[in-house]
Amino acid sequence: MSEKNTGLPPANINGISRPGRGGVTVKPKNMKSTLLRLFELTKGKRRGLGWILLLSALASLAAILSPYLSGQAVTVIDNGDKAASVLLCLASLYLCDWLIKFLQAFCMAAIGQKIIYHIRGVLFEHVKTLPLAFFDKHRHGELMSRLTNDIDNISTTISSSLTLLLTYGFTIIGIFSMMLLLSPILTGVSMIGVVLIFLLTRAVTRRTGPLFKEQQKHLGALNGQIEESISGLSVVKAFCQEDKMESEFSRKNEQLCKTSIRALIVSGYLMPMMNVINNLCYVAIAVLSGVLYVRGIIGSIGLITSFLLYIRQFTRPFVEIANIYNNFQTAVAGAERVFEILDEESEPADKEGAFPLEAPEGNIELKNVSFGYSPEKQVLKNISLKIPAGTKAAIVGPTGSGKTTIINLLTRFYDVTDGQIELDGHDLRDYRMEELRNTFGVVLQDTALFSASVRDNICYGNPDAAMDQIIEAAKMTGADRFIRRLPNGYDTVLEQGGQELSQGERQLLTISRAVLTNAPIMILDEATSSVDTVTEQNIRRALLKLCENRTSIIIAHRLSTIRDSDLIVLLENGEIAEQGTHQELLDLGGKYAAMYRTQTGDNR
Amino acid sequence: MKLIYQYLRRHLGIFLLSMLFLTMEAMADLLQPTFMSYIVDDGVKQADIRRICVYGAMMLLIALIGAVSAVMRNYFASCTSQSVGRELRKDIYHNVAGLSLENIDRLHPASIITRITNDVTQIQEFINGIMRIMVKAPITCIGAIVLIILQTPGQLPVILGIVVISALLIAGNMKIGYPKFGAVQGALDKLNDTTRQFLASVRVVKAFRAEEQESRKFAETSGWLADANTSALRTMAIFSPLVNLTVNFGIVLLLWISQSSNSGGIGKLMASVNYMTQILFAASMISNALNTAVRAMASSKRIQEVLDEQPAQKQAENPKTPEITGDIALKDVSFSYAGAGNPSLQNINIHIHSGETIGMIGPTGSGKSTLVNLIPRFYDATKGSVELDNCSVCEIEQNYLRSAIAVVPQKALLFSGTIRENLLWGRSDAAEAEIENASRIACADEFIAKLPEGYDTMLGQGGVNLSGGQKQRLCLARALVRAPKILILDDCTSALDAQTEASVLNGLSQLKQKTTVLLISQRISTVMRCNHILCLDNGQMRGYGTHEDLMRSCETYQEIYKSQIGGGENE
Repeated sequence: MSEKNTGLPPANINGISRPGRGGVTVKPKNMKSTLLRLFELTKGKRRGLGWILLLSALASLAAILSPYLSGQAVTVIDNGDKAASVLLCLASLYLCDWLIKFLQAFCMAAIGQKIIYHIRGVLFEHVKTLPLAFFDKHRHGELMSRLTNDIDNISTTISSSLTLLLTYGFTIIGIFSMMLLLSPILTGVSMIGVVLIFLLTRAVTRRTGPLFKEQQKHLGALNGQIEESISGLSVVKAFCQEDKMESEFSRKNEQLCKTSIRALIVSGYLMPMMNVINNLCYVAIAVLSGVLYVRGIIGSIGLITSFLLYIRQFTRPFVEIANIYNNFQTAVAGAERVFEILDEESEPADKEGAFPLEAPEGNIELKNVSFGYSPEKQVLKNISLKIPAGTKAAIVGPTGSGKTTIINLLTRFYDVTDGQIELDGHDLRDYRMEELRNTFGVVLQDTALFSASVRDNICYGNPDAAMDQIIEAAKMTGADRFIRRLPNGYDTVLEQGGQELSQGERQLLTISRAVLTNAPIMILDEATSSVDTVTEQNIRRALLKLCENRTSIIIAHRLSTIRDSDLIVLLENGEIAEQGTHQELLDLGGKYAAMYRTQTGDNR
Repeated sequence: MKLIYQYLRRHLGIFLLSMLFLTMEAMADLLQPTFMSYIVDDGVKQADIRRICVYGAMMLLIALIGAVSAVMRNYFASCTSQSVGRELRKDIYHNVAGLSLENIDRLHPASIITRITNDVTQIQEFINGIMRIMVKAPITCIGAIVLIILQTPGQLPVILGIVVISALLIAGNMKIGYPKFGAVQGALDKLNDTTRQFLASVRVVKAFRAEEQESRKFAETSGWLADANTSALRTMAIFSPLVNLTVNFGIVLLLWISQSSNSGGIGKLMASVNYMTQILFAASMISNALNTAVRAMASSKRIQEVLDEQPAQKQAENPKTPEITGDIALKDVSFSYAGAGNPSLQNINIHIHSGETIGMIGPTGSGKSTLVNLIPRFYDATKGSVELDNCSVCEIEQNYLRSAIAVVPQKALLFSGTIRENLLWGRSDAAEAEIENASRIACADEFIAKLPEGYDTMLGQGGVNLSGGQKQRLCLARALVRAPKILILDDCTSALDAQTEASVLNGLSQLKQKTTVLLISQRISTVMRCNHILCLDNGQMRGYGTHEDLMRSCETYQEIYKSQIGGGENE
């Protein structure tokens, strides 16, 4: 039961607005400064936005004038006169209205999208400079919805609400002054209705707020359960837990359904009640104007009819503005979340006068390095270690002893909390980040591949590599063999980001990728854990060749992998427990020797 | 569309009730201008306060009836859409739970999850929407037209003309707009995909300094989306105002014609104008529904795909429940994954006696995991048969089969809930002592005891608050709680350091009950002491026997041995 008597555009004509029905209104923390910032952000991209705002102001003209004109026309016709001039005015008004609305929507389509594109680009450009700590802390799903949904919401909602707010604002002012002009007394009475509607809206939204929040909570719980049980379906099946999972799912599903219905019902009271108030108001005005007409206070019947037409139009903008304002607030809150990301500090910029790193020798030295991902828990404690250029170094140790952390510090994914790491005698932080990372050829624990061809995946760090270089790198690691068996060889597209390959095959690809970069320092973090030992030996031999006269650091569980390293460092609880060559450590007869014996099955 | 209809039909009663109230609501809306015209014509104009009051009271009454109908309509409509949503989710979930892993691989878990969550929500929105758009708009339109003609019969041609032109415009909008909004949906999916990949591999991107490359990729997909959106919105920008213009011109024409016909009654004219605007509103509702409709269609298509998926494995018609002792025979077994060219297993023949411990070793991709996956029927052999105690696994009742087997997967997967609840997955009626014993053997008791709430510690989704090694040990304990006849360890100790692994394996060898153990490992030291060792390469069996046998006869095995132990001693 909504109001119809209007020429205003329906609320979601602009943009692909998300179904906002029944969403929670999230209050922004600081509306004014957020809007200002948003305005700043779109600098240079909002050409034409001014015109659109002007057009929306003009669009309200039709809403203001058309009841007056049609009221006039009706009166004139009723008096038996010809209404040609009035009708001509009305027709040209509608024509203008059409032109304005068309121009507004047509221009907005391009400008709005340009702004969205711009903001999205700005956000992505920033996100990619953020330090790894940020990505480790935030859930990926959350970041994704920032980059897609939130930005869409901001631009479409803010731009469309802005134009609508303007239109409605002008409409209210215009109609209000027309009404005042027609009859101040009747205007006063109709204000009562507006106040009533305002109070009603507040009362209802106050009730629905908590209900929608509860609905969101149940939705979250259900989605979590779905995600967990479906991504772990193989285990669910292995342990025959399908029934239990289904009953738990049903319980949560049931709960969500119940709260959703309750929330929808309560919020559904609003419109019908508003309509009743509206009608009440209308009747009151009609009665009153009748009385006034009889008493002779109001002279013309046409005035009354015009006024009655206005009163039908007057309340709707208020309701709409309340609605739009809610959406607007939610969008601004979304903008604040986006700004939170933009406010995250990027990886520190290069120091002034940072050194270029052209031909590094590869002398690495850790001086009293301490580090913790959080202040309470130290992962590395006061480590000092020297890896001279050309050394084949290896780091071993139990899970959680801090092996990967050392790699994170070397590549400056994280910076040391205390102490310093030097490369060729200078602190890592004194080099340019770009060149520093180019110095390392890294094979990481997680075998991230991209949905691109095998060839593109191998030359990821080195897009200009020639085909025979790519094949050479793949041959070196032994990846060539399985690549040739793929349907399209090197041009096979990994549709699922490599999920269709086995873990070992993925590792071979990631190693090939690192080999191709031909970096001065090679780092392999558990790079061969899922490769069989024969292949591993082949890779190791290849790497030995590759690492000749090169510094390399290998992390491995399997001691067989690192037996012939020049330097083996045994980490335990973030401290160096033992270091030396394989033979030295065996002779020492300590923890390394014990580990080696258990692994070779030599339990003497 | 068929899908939505199918589900709506189940709630036909409630749906029709909501339609009924919707109709009443629309009628009430339609009657209001008529009463307004009475108020003006018979009341205000005649300065008859009593009549104004009478008509006013009737108008209020109708508004009240309308309001009550709207509340009821909202009640039934909410019930319908939410119940349909609930049932859709339930049916998809149920169907997915019954699918074979082969189906799941094909559909991708992530995509299934979005279908149950987002797509169902889209359909709910749509159902809520159709009540207003598909039903209310036409009722309003037709009602308004009838009332205008009743009040001012001379207007018939004008009205018909307007209706035809608006209908054509709306149809044109649909025809041109539909594929464009479809393209928007596609571009949005692509953008999500690109973003997801970037986030998943951000470490690699940074390590290889490939930020520029990723920026270009992102800008490109983001640009596609912007273009698709612009084009779709422009279509709307052309058609929507045109519909407005048509109806507005109708108002002018209507007034123009009534000049000469002088149908009498300013109120009636006002009412007619009012009805025209109701038509206008209904028409723009319909043309704006396009977007929601496109989304709902895309969603229902994706949901239908999941619902249509048939389990790849057939269940036995007369499932058997033979006594399972752990005697396993593979007879000429070959297997290839769906869509893969090369067979993953070729003509494997082995017989494993109950109580034996079998080590499995071989290069990456040699088919070790594939082979053990055939035993609990995660996949079915493409050729040959897998038999337990002389009965093909395909003929055994599935739950009975799987409850005799415990698997410790490569990837440690735990579920939200307490540690105890996770361990009870193994066997729901396990006693406290059994749980503790299993944890002890899996070397998990120590760290569990150190946790603030011991076995009652809550694990987050996927066991996020534990380290990799701790998760693996819990998975092992979970399998041991089951006291299975067959225990499958799929390279499940990779995140354990060598010493913990050794003590875990030691504990396993002292299991009291008679258990057949299949142990996959990369480390030769781990499999060396097994009763028999199966050496696989490239899906083919290269050797089966004791360590000594294989050292004599199997080249692949010798090579592996040399790579891990043999070569080192000489250096």
